[in-house]
Amino acid sequence: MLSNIDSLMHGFGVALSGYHIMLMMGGVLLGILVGVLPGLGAPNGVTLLLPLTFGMDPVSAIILLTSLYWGALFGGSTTSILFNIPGEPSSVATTFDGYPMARQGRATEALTCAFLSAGFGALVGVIVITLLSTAVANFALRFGPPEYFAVYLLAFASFIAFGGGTPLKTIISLCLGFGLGMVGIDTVSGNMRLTFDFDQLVRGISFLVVVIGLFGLGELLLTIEEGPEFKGASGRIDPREMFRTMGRMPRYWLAMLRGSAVGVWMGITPGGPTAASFMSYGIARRVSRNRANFGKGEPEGVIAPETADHSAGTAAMLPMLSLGIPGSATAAVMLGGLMIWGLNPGPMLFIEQHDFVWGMIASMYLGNVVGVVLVLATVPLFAAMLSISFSIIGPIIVTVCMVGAYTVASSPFDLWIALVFGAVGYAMKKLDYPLAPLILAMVIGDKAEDAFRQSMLSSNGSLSIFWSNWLVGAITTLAILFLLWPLTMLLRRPAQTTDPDAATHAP
Amino acid sequence: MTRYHLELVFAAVVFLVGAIGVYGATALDFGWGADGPQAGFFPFRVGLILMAASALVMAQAVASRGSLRRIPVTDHEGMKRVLGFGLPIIAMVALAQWTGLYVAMALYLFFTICFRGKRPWHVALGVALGVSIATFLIFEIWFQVPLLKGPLEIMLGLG
Amino acid sequence: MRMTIAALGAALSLAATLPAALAEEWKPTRPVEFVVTSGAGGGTDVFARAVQAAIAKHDLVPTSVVVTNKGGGSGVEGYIYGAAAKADPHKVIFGTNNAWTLPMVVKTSWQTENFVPVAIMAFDEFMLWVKNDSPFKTAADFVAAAKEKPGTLRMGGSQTHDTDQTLTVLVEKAANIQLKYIPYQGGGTVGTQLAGGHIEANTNNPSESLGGWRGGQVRPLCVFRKAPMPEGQKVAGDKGWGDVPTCASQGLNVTEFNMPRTVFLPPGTPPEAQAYWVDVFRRASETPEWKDYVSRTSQNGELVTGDAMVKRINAEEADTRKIFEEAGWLVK
Repeated sequence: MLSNIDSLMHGFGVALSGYHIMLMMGGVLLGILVGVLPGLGAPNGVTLLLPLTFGMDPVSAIILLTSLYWGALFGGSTTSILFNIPGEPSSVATTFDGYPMARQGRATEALTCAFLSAGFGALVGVIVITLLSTAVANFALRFGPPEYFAVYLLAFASFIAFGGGTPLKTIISLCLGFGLGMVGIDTVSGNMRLTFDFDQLVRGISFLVVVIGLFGLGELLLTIEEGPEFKGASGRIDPREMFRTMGRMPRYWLAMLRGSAVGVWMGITPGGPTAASFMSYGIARRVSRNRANFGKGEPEGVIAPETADHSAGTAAMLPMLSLGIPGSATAAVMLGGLMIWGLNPGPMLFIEQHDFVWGMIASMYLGNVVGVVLVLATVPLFAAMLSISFSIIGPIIVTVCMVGAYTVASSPFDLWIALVFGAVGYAMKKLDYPLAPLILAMVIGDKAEDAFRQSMLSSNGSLSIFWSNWLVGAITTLAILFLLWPLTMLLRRPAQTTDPDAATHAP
Repeated sequence: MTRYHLELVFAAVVFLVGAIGVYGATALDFGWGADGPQAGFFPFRVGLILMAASALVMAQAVASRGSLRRIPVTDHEGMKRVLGFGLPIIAMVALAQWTGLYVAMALYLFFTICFRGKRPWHVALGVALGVSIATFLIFEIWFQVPLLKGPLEIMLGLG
Repeated sequence: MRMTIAALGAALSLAATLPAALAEEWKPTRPVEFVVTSGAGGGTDVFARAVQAAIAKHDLVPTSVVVTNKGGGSGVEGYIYGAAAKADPHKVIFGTNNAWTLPMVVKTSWQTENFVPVAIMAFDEFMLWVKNDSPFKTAADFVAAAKEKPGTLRMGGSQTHDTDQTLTVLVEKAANIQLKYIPYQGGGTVGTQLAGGHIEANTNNPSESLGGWRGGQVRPLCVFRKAPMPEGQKVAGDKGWGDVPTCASQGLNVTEFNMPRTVFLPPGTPPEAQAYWVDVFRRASETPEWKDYVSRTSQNGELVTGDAMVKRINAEEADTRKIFEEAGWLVK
């Protein structure tokens, strides 16, 4: 561990130069841009920059690309908060409380909260990488199909068990998500499922298109119904509000630590940032002192998913470098870059490319600080967008949604899917169906099914494989305890009345 | 439209989706084989759960129809606004299928801002052209992400 | 499966001279789209981006070239998209042998023979890998263990009814053994699953397990090739790719198995456009960028175009169909 700190200091020596700080700023700004636009993501930015990096030395190149990645992670939260449109899948959970805050005229507070907790989460992630670099990589190797399944089950259990909404409607939302995720080719059997020989369904139903419809368009319809103008948009943008929020942040230290812990866990295990943000939100909603206020504009509801998302995103860089497995499409393109720069990702990278690895880790510290500062500087700009009249910004958001839906698979058919889900989202909100279970089931449902069936292939159909060693046994047992939690609650309090008048919009 | 009707309609749609899922799963092996669950195992059960749960929601709605009937989903004005906002989007998507996204979005922006937003035509035109051209520059030129193009772009040699 | 070197040389020079003369007749007038039948970061994606880089560097195409990923449905999405772009020579489809294996195992709305073939740019090799501390020192050890406990050794691979599983079936038939095939999403995952001991063996391509071998996590037992790979740089310790023995030499009689990296044009593309692209890809294959990609990924950079390519595809398709039929994978 001590030698790691020595290496880190050496890394700072490599990374800290005016040229590199410039690269970081450029990368972060470009990242914010691609993160903000729903049609673009970090992979687009990385592919754009990759050719530029061939002439650079590898340390500079990776600094540029990772900074872009941080920027995109920050930018993804912006549209979630301002317009209820998640720019990236991992910022869906940020909409649950971020958007209500913006509607109450607290956009500045929500954005500041999101960026600061994101920076905090990323920092925790880097510290874990610094201290535990090789141990973490070896730990990641212990995950086979049963462990994957157990991790998904845990993420799922901790979100659902702590959720709101009536049980029946939660089940419907959940199963709709599972069903949508199943469309397309089935990895394990190689069969087409639920495509009905329809060419457009072969690639499956895209998660992002559904989210753009359910959240973006659905929310626009709700907004327009209530009145022609954005409510709460009248609130003046006050830069001092940003500093006041900064001052309040230490109060949320527990929420930030909890979110980061969940994120680091999901980043090291194969759970990933999206599942991490949901899991963190679910746990926070259960244990926070302000739990009653969740879903109605609670800062902790922004802090929980943001810290988890970023610490998971950061911690996930480690398996990528040391094992050569890309955790995301962005990582995959970066891995391609590594090879073009003449580096081979894998266990030897840490030994053979000492300067590169530690320069990169050091740049993660610096890049995140640069990122938080730059993204905070954009807060007044983005908050100002809310004061544009809805009769102009509304249609523009619609076109942004449509462009985003199209770019996911360059398919005109997806525009129709987004429209349909816009109507579905509107109806679900009106009828108090929770949307979040649908999204979570869609994100991890098919992965969990694959892992489950791969495990069954190994064990010849015996479920005992989920208790075959202490690691998988512990995670599975914990997940089942979480799932049973609401049942015990029901036993204690048998009659849970369904009151349609209640205006609680469970996320 | 009252809450009661919307509950019934939505639950019916869910029921239908569940039935389609069950039908699709029966085309596959939906049992639990020697090597665990087969391809149709989960789709089949998820479909059944959807059908059962939506039937229960319908039953609940019928049981409490007295109170649900009194809750309007939205008033007349709200409905008008929703349709006024939603129908042009449908028109844009339909139009985009053959004119491409750029032309469709420019027309959509111009007409909604000008007629529904009641803004002067030059403002609407400015926004429409500005957004379309900015989108073109960012996506097509800068990030090289091709968007849906139609006859106009091909004529101009951009597609 | 392979032609003689002489015939190949003849086909190559034919392909090289003829289209060059015709190439003047058609040129792209709009941005060109490289349609990749895998997700970002997949083998086909890296392949297409390597070609794109070579083309951009040497200005082989007058307009811009963009790469789009259409890897949904194991790549079916990309071919559907290509088939829909009837006769549009501005769309170039990058794939593997999935161009002709996919229609055998899933219901597709397109036929391979309708696509206009351009080139096979390279062949990716396959090796039999085990975990570094595995008791198997040779392919013979592995076969013996599989014979002792039939159906228990876990063989990992990417996707179902794809190249890895095909090779697994060939291994099973050649050695008269039974393995337990477990499909994963991609070669990278399959590599780490082996390193973690969650499977006993896999058939990764050299580039997919390069890092794992260097890091002492996994090691190759043998290569599915007629002769060992050319001696190159040392990869792990004092061993290089050339030091890996052939599987046949170790008693595992699968003499030849590789995966072509293919390029097609949409159905109905006119011959002059086909000739243009054949010429572009021939010139791209001669660039240092391309040669670097081939050696970096330890592939066989043999270029096959024109009639030779059609012949090769037909032969491979017939062979594969026989294997699939016996395995019961053909879609009704």
